[in-house]
Amino acid sequence: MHVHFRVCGYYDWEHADKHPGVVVTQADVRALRAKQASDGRWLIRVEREADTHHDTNIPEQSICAFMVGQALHAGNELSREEAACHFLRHSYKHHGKRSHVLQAIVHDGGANAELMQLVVKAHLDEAERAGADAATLQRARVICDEVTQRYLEPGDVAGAITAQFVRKQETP
Amino acid sequence: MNSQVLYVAPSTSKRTRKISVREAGRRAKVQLSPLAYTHWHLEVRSKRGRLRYSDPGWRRNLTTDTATGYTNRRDWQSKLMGGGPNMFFGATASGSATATGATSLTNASASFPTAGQALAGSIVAAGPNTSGAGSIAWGVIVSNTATVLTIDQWYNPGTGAAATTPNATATYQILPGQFAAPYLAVTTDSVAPAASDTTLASELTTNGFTRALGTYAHTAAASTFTLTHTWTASGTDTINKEAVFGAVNTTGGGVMPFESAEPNAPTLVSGDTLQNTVTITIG
Repeated sequence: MHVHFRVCGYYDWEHADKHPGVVVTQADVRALRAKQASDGRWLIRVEREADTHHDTNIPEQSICAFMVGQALHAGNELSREEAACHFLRHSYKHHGKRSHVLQAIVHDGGANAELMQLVVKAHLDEAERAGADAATLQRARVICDEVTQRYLEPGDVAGAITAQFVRKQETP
Repeated sequence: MNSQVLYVAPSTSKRTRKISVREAGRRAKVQLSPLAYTHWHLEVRSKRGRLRYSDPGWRRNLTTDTATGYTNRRDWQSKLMGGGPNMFFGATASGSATATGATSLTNASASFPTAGQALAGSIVAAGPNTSGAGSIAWGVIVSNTATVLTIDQWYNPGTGAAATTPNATATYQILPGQFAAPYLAVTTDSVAPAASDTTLASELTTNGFTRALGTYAHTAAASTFTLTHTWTASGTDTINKEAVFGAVNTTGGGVMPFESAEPNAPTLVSGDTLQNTVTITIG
């Protein structure tokens, strides 16, 4: 799934030495605003203004695996939209703020039943290898069937992403 | 002939003798620090989403710049960007296979390059044979002889999942350059990373931590891109190291340009999620 954001700004990194007098603190490091390069110099996060775009590729396998893993082991029933937004949220926060996002264009290849079957099989095979008893395996199969149904339900990923990420309205 | 002095490297001591560039070059025994900055950040959350552990900031990690073979970061990156020494190597860069397998493609009439790292890291794309039979797939070459390409697996071009082995007489093309390194993997092994590493020792393949295709993200003209992934644990494991790979499985291996160690290795239990982010600064 390709998510293309039109943005009016983004995060980038510069050497702290380019900003005379800047003080890098432990709080900046913990907040992911500063980091050390391999040569020991400090890099700081800067915010740039630009009319540009940001691209994310969310593998469909990741969506399938996350939905199955969360259902089987965390008891969380996620939709395909929620899983996609999860990956986008955790990726985009390192690149910019939601207020930078003007527009989202989503190229969604759609749910892939065959791929989900492969992911489900891999989880069930591992459970069997790990020695799960028959009752546990049967419960897992039921959960996987429910996840698969939920995964294949028609949804609006583009709408979900727009609702969650596009905050700033473009000035006409 | 006197040559105009353009720059004198600063020194903390007034007694440091000035030396020529030639002399400094002869004295250099240690490789320069890598110019590709890479950093990792890891978070662990409980099944209810509560943050249980977070790295204290970005960790800069190691680049495998002294590894032997095609997994060396510098070798991979130069071929990725410059095409490599076997770009357009000859007529048998494309043709018809004489045999295919789950991890191989053979052309008995081929003359594939075998010197140095040969074709390792390049992509071979296979399609229906001249009669139109067979599927489309591609694989990452991990090694080769003059007539046999060994790959990590066949990939479905649309999803990246494992694909059916192409027809035994499939048509094929070997593409110049190198495949990317978009896969993330973790391990319980606690031995410190080394620039000569070519694999992630004791890489996890169970408990939900299989090597995974990362979510790629980049803002146009920014100096970084990221790969992220979230694993859901199905058992208990302590995560000590992570790495980036150019192949989907441990059998194929693939290039391993970046590797990092956790300063305070977190232990995950079933239902926890491991959110891993690697940021690569490309300048």
